[in-house]
Amino acid sequence: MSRKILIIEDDLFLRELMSKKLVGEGYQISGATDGEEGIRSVKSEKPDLVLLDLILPGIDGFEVLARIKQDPEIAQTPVIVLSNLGQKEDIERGIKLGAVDYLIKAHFTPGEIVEKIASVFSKDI
Amino acid sequence: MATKEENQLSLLLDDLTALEEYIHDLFNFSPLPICFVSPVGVILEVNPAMEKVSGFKMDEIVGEPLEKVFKKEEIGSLARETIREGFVDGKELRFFPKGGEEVVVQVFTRTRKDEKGEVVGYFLSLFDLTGIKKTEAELKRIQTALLNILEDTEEARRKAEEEKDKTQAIITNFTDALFFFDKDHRLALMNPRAEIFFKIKKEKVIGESINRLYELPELRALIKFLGEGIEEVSRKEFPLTEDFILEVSVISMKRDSVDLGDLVVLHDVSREKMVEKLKTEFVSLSAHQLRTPLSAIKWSLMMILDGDLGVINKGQKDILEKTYQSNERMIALINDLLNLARIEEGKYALSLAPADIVKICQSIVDLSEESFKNKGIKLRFNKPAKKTIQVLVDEEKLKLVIQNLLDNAFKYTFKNGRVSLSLKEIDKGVRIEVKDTGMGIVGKEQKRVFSKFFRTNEAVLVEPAGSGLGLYMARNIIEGHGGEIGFISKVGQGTTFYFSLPKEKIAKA
Amino acid sequence: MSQLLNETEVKKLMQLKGEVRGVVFKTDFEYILNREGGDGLEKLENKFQEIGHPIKYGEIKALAFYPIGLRIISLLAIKDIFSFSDEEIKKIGEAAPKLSLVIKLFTKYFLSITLTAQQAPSMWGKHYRAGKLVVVEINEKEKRIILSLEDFNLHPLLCKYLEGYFSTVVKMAVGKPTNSQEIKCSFSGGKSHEYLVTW
Repeated sequence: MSRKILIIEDDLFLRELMSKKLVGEGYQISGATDGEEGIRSVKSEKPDLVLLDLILPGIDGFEVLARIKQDPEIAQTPVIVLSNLGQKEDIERGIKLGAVDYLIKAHFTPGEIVEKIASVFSKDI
Repeated sequence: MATKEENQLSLLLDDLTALEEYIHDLFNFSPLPICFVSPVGVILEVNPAMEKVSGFKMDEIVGEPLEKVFKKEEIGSLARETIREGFVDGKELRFFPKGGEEVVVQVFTRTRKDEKGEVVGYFLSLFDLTGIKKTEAELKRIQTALLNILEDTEEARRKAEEEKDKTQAIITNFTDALFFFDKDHRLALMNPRAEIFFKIKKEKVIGESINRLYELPELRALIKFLGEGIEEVSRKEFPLTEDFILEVSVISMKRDSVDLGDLVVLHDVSREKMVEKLKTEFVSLSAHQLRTPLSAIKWSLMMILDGDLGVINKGQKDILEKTYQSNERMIALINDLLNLARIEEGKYALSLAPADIVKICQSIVDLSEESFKNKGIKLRFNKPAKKTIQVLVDEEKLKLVIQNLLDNAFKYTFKNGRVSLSLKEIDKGVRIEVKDTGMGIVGKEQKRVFSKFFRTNEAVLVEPAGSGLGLYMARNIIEGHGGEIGFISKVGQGTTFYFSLPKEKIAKA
Repeated sequence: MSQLLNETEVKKLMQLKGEVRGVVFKTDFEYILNREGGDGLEKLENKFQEIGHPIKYGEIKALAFYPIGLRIISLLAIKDIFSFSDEEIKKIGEAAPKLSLVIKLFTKYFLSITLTAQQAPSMWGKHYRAGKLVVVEINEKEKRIILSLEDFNLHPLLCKYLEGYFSTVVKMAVGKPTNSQEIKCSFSGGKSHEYLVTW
């Protein structure tokens, strides 16, 4: 059974690129364009992993992360923060809120991101 | 009968003699100089005291006019007044004793009258005022000296008042809040600005002890921050409220090792903090805004190059790879600019905290291990004798520096080369060296190595993607910590970059 | 020297008529005391003892009358012991009025020379019960006075003494330096002793 990955990202192009890459790797992909939608999708779809951007319209990624982790139904879902906010405080905050990893989009190729996802899944096993 | 007369006479004679002797003794005894002067001013009689003071023996002065020992004009007027008034009490005249210097004397006279009331002469007595005059002169001198001292004291007092006024004016008008605690930690002084900041009138708190002040809601936070001992502190941030941030400095005032008290200065840095916050936010946002399109380009290119979107020919691959590199440079540049923006702000950029420098170095070495291995460069960490060394640093920024040096070593050293990171404790602090066996830096370019955006031509050839900001930033950071940074390099042999962090930055273990 | 004071001489002098106030030769003693000190005075006193008329300075009653001979003996003794010249004898005379208590009784008259001159005979009388002092001439303008001493032929030594004496008395009256000179002397044929004092 292929894994489900939810991409919460408001930039359409980026989401498309990432989607394409992950599909190519054999994952099932779904997306959300804002935080509210994202949380709803996590609850309804129960993905195996969430790729979360931080700068979102409406509530921001940190808030989404916090809510996910607070909700016992979905708290277990591993979340990788994928953002272009790269300051130390942001990274720390993300990790503290429960993100399993924090990647800066501009610093990682799609291939590298795929590897990161794989390593998260391999830990599950 | 004759006998009776004779007896009477004899008795009278005896009485006369006795009287004569009495007068004689009295006259001679008197320590006051007395003389008897005829109405025309001839000295008819002098007593021994007069002989002494005048320097003339009786036979030298009796029969002489008064002008012998007085000035003619002075004594003339005195004599006239004597005869007119019957006496003179205490007139000051000059007196000229034999062979001596003139002295000032006080003269007293009293006339003698016969039964008809005619003046038959006058007694003249004098009082040597030399002693008194000397004392007078001395007193005057002392008086003048005292007046001078008084003037000086007045002057000093006035200056002190001025100084006090000046100081008072400064304190009152100082734009920072000022508190002064005396040596018993009682509040001795509070300026108007402090009253405004803390919304409390000074009358309410002057003279109170630290403990009492702690009880007041307006000052509790401050007192807690200062602590009971009011320790010395330099520019520590104290948020009075979320939007009102103060920078506190406590200066212990001592003079000749006598404790005078503590001065607390509170500088409003809310605006600076606000600016800092806005800047940080702006920088963050800018980074994000700039990175987003660049990420898209990066991913797109990579996916194409990976073949995810179909096969591409060599020509296409070449160009796309170059495009990718260009994009990477852009991303790197943005990173560096972001870091730079934060560092260039001076003191607001460094947040010092105790950290273990050994651990910091180790973590960077660990992170870099793989890359070095992949390139075939031997990486070594020369550890210090101690297992941990505590330093007071901005860890994030220090990491940037070490990372940067290591990155440079990596970039400019070829396969089979060696890179070592050495950390050791020195007398002045700690010293870190990054040594490589790389290509070295051309002599005449060495001066510009730390300049903003500078890269040597050789460096660009070897590693096209580089912003030229790394060392500029590194120097900024190290110098911000109070340390020194430098390098030794020889073309074809290698480069050693080193920096030191001073002892003050090393927290006590 | 002792010839002046041999026994015969002394006896002769003691027989002279007249009396003198103690003050007169007391001033002699005082002069010696001032000039020659206690030792000198003792010598003088001893001399008096020697000649058989012991007199102690402290015992002389200034206002009492004594034989006039003593007065002369006093001067002779002084001349003898201290080898005084005549000029020095004059000096004793000059000093005497300054020391004399009796003169002090007359100070009210020292207003002017005229007044003093008027008192001169009286002054003399109070000192000597022998001889008579008369003012022959006074000229205040020319600043001169002539005094005549009559019936006074006791001893030539006194002439010099009196020269000095009168010089001082006049001085005390006028307050100016004086010059005195015996212009006539009964020992050299004059009727009396005349003294000219100028100032």
